[in-house]
Amino acid sequence: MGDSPLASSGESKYEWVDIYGDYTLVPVPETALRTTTAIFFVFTGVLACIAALWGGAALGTQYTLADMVWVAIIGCLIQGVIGFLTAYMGASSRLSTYACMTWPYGRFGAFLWGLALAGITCGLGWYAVETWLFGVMMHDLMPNNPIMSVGVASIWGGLMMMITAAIGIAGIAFLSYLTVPFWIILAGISFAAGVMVGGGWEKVLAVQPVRSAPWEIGVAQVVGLYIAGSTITPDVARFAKSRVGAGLAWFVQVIIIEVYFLVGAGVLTLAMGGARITEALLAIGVGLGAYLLAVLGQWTTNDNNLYSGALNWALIVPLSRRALVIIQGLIGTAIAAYVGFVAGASLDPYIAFLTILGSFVPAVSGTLIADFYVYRGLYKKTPLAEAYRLKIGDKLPEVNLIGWISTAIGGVLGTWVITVGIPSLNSFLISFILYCVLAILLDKAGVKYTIGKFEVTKYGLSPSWAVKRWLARAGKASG
Amino acid sequence: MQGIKRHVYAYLLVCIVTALVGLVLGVMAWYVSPYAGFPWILTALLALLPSLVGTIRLRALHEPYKFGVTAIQTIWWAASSGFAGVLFFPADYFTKVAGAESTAMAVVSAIWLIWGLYLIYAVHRETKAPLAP
Repeated sequence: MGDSPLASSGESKYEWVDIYGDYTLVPVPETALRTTTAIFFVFTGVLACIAALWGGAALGTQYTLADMVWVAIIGCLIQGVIGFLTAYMGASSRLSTYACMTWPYGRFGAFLWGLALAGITCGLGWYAVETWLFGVMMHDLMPNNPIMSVGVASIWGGLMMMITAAIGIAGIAFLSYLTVPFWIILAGISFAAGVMVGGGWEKVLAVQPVRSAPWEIGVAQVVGLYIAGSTITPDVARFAKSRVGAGLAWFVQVIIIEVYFLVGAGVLTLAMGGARITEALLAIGVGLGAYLLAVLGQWTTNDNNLYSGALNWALIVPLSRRALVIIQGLIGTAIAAYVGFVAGASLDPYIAFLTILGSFVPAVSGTLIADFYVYRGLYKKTPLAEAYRLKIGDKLPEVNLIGWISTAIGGVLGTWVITVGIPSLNSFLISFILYCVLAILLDKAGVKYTIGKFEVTKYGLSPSWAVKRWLARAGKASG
Repeated sequence: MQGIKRHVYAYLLVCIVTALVGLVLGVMAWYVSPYAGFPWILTALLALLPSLVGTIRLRALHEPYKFGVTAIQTIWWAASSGFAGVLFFPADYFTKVAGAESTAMAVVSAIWLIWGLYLIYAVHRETKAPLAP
């Protein structure tokens, strides 16, 4: 396991044409690679947002301090290990998550599962949830103003977020670099204030939550908070110079910074008897400026959700990114408003969303990891640097049935059928084992489990309609 | 190039010295209220440690682009710590414990932020390193 990905390839000339931009469906060139520190910074920037504090606050309503720490550590360990393995895969192949998924799912499957992961989970699911949380924050700021009721604020907030995402993400993304220490300090204030409000360490340790939940459900919630991120680490890690460094950058930020965020926010809500984190922060005197920045942070994160979702939809829907941002934004806002009018400021929909996400999505990671490390690495004895290496002229499957079957079975059994153990681990392990067993047995038996073939061209994994459209535009531009 | 290097070192030196002063004030605040002192110390450390590490890393870098990339990464940490300081130190949470000191820290934070943002742009212009960390 060398430090430099694709070191053996002796890359001298970049032979790919990137028609989607940002190397979405082609390998990242050597000139665009970044240091481990830079990758760590990007990962931390993604983690540092209000959703992490909301997640911690949800734990604070269900667990004692000691249980909360254990739940956070176990959940983050699961995310850390999964993310380490997927980040290493991304840095080895220099390919995005969707491109990596081509091997275990086939090209068609990669688009579909990639869409389920980023288009639906981030673009619609997280967008709707964070828009609703925006409504909750506005409500906590001015509880008696009808325009600030959770449902109404979700509508105008969602529409405004959609507009800023449609107009331009670059300026807004710039702001997110500035706010990383802000979130770290805010979690510190939350933690310290929680201990103060609770009457000191010994008293806080003895405080009982407003309700209790089994610890494995808490682990699933923690995993759910960031499992989509843990699975799509190749999107960032593909830019890493060091494969191990990319994995470690993920692991360290999850194990240290995420645990800190969760416990920091959880202590305050625990000590304040289940109050919402935003309400609690206002009550301790954190200041209106800081509160409004938290609101703005929610805004930038949600614009990113919408934008990433639109990028994924753009891979299979022949519409402009702006049109897709608007369509997703309208649907997400409608869902947020519905939740806002029905559930108000109760955290229950958020907890349910995290639990389902944390139970089902690990099945996708299980399949990816099984294919890359076990089937290709151990069984086929392909060096990991070559396992997912895209080459012009290669023929890859359109559909890989084993990936579809193992993910679907693992996700359904782990989420809804098996009632013992940690749901996140169950679905991960079932899909992982199922993929290994089926792929190796069918390969040994000579049974074909893929459908169709497509040839990799210099446009990478781009579909032919997108290539034609791009060529037509390029022709018009040069004409 | 020498001019921008001197500018970067001057900024980092100011950050290190003022963050050290902030750290001392934070420790003093800790004795009044540990719950206000803890985030205060955290803020000072978030500016101090990257500035120290960055200064050491930069001394080994002579190629303009590489110097620019590392300098911008380092300055982002200091400037963004300043951003947090500007927002938090004037708040009730801190001013109740140490009014004058927290106002002073808010001013210092503003310097880290404004000077830092200007310097990021200046380094980017001089070395062509990316603006994003």
